[in-house]
Amino acid sequence: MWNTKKNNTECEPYEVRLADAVDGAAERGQDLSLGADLAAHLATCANCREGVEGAELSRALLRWGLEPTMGARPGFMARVFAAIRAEEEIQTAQKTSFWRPLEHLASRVALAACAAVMVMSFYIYAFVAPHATSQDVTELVQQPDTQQPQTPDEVLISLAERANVR
Amino acid sequence: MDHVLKMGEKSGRAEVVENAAAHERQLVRRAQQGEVAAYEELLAKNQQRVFSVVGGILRRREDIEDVAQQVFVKAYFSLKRFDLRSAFGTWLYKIAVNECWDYLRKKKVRRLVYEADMSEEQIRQLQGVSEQPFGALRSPEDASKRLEQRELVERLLSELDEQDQAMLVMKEVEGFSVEEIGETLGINVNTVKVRLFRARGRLVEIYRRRLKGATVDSKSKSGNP
Repeated sequence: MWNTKKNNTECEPYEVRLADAVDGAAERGQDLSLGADLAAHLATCANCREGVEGAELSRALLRWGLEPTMGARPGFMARVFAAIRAEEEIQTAQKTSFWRPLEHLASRVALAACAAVMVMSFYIYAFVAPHATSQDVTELVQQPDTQQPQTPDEVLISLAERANVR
Repeated sequence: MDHVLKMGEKSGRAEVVENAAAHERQLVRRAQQGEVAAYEELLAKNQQRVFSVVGGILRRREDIEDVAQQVFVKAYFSLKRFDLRSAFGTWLYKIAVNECWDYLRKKKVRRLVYEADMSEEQIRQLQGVSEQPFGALRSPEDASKRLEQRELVERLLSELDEQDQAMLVMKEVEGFSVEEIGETLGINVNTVKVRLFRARGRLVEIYRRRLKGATVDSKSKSGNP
């Protein structure tokens, strides 16, 4: 490919001058004449040589295939101003819409609600919720179960005890 | 005496340029205050150039008109923010370039390119470009032939980077100077020169490669060695 033949940064100062020389010659309709240093560079650089040789052909190719863009067709300006008026109407309608103040208010309320939720979440997290430490959890796990009645007799005894307590 | 005349001519030309710039600034201020006629005058002055910039990048008539219209509408609504630090035209061309890139991004118009999809007639036409002396090439009167030539060149161009394509067309077809291209595309002038120089080389390389590929392909189709 074009770029791999030689280091591009090495050629850059020559390329600027070569481009000037090529364009200058084309504009004046004269043959290309190069200074000694440019000619010496061209002798050793295939990239730049191809660039110079290709300049005329690429120009011819482009002018052969493409034509300058024609101006606007009749009525173009009228279409532009119609589009401007249509856009203005949309913008005015948006500004004067009945729902516009409500939309504005709703967005403000939503924003305030979000802020309130964030503040409350922080408050609950920081001051209200009890923070269980790992020690509390260990104690809770290790607490022995209260003794449950196992037999029908024990059930009756426990019921009687509860009745006595009351 | 001759020297004095030339000096006078130069200062006269500078005065004309300065007057035109002052008139343009005045038109912009009036347009910023909402005077539609002033904006209309500004557009009329810059319309052809905007078409050339957009045409340099998009090249399809229907796309060009659509995007140019968007440019003028966008410029109208952004005019109040324009601070007159650059010429109105420069500001407008930058809007045009941005609109073109946006348009291309939205449409994703990048056509597939095939290596050997040219007919023998097309190969003959392309070969003719390099065989004729520069300047001897003329656009044919036949519209369909012109369209075909255009398509061939667009196929070659489509293998280049989009910005390189724009620079080449703006320079060689639309007649922009490298300074104008740099200003419009927001690139340093020397970078424009280097990129143009390399893009021309690449275009010719693509042209030769495709010509060679197509010739080999047509030979193998006809059974010739």
